[in-house]
Amino acid sequence: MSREEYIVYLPDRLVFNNIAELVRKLNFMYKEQGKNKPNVYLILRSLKEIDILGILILYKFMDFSLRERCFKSPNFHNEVKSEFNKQVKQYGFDNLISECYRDRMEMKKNFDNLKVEIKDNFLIAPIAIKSEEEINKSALKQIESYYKDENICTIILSIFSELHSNFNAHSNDTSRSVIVAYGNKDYVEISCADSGDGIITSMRNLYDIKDDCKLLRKAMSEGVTSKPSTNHMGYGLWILNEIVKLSKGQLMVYSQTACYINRFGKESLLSVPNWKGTMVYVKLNLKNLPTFEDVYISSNLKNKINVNFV
Amino acid sequence: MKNISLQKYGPIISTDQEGLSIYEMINDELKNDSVQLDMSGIVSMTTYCAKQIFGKLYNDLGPEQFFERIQIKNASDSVKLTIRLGITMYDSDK
Repeated sequence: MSREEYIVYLPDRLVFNNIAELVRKLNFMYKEQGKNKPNVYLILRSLKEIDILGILILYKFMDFSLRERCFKSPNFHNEVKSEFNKQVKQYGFDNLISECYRDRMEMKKNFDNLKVEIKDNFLIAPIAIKSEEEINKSALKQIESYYKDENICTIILSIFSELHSNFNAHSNDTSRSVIVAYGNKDYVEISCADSGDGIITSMRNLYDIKDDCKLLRKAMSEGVTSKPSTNHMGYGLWILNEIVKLSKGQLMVYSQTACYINRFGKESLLSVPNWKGTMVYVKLNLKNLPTFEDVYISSNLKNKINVNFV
Repeated sequence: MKNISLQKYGPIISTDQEGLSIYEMINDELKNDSVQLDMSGIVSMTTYCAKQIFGKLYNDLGPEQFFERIQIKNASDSVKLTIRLGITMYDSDK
């Protein structure tokens, strides 16, 4: 009797600029919803590099495949346990990931109880994006106490609140958006991902553009929103991108089969393996951070609006 | 001129409910008087809320009345930029 096996070898670079390769390995889960397939093996044989987005996507894969009952008791063979576990712990995913394959109820409890937590350096351990109170009350104090710089705090909080607003607008009960941040005195990384309706789907309903990459490029433009009948404005992603450009940082917006990357001011668009939802990764160089006045100067808003600021 | 502090909504004005509540409070006061909004304690505001509050007020009052009847003090650069974006987008949606 034959025994069908799924063996997935994970790439040894679980980082934002190799994330398409990771998604290519994992997105077979979308075909397996409800099948509860046995004999699924996820194998990590070596680990050269890992970042906050790599771990987040690995977690989202586990979360989705268990919730949607894709696999029965999947096995995660990790041959680089000490290094992997160290990184997972550093980024605050230790409880979430270790519980994933043990107990579905435990996983749900862990997700619902995610809290802002500050460890060494600056870390906002993964939290559900619905937890806005947590972000406002806890994260601000922690960001201020670690950075002690008004401009850095304002920029980080603005990115948090814009990402929250954007991901929340697309979310539903199954999106399970998660945001996580890590940094030190030189840089900060912020990443979030969901399993909701992606930007491409929303944009396709509004624009007669067939190419997914062109749709995503349009979504990144100043004043373009995928939700025009609401108070959303299409400036959230644009502001984020301007801050990244001016700080010579890095930004990735991955939605379904399109990916926008801004690396040190150089922009590119790629066709990528399908991810049902959106993921955003930001890395800011804190030594070169712009102010909001710089962002305003780079916009097309100059002298348009007269506001009585005193 | 009525002074309105938004401190209780701080440090981040980001939700639909907060935006609506602030808009209604300012709008009520404008029926009687001009207002001075004190943004002390507001570190950040989402573009969504800026459109909901200031975009709508700008539209309700028109550019001249908006300038004459609403003063905004202690706004950070981030909040100033967001308010301008909110007004611009509300205006361009019309």
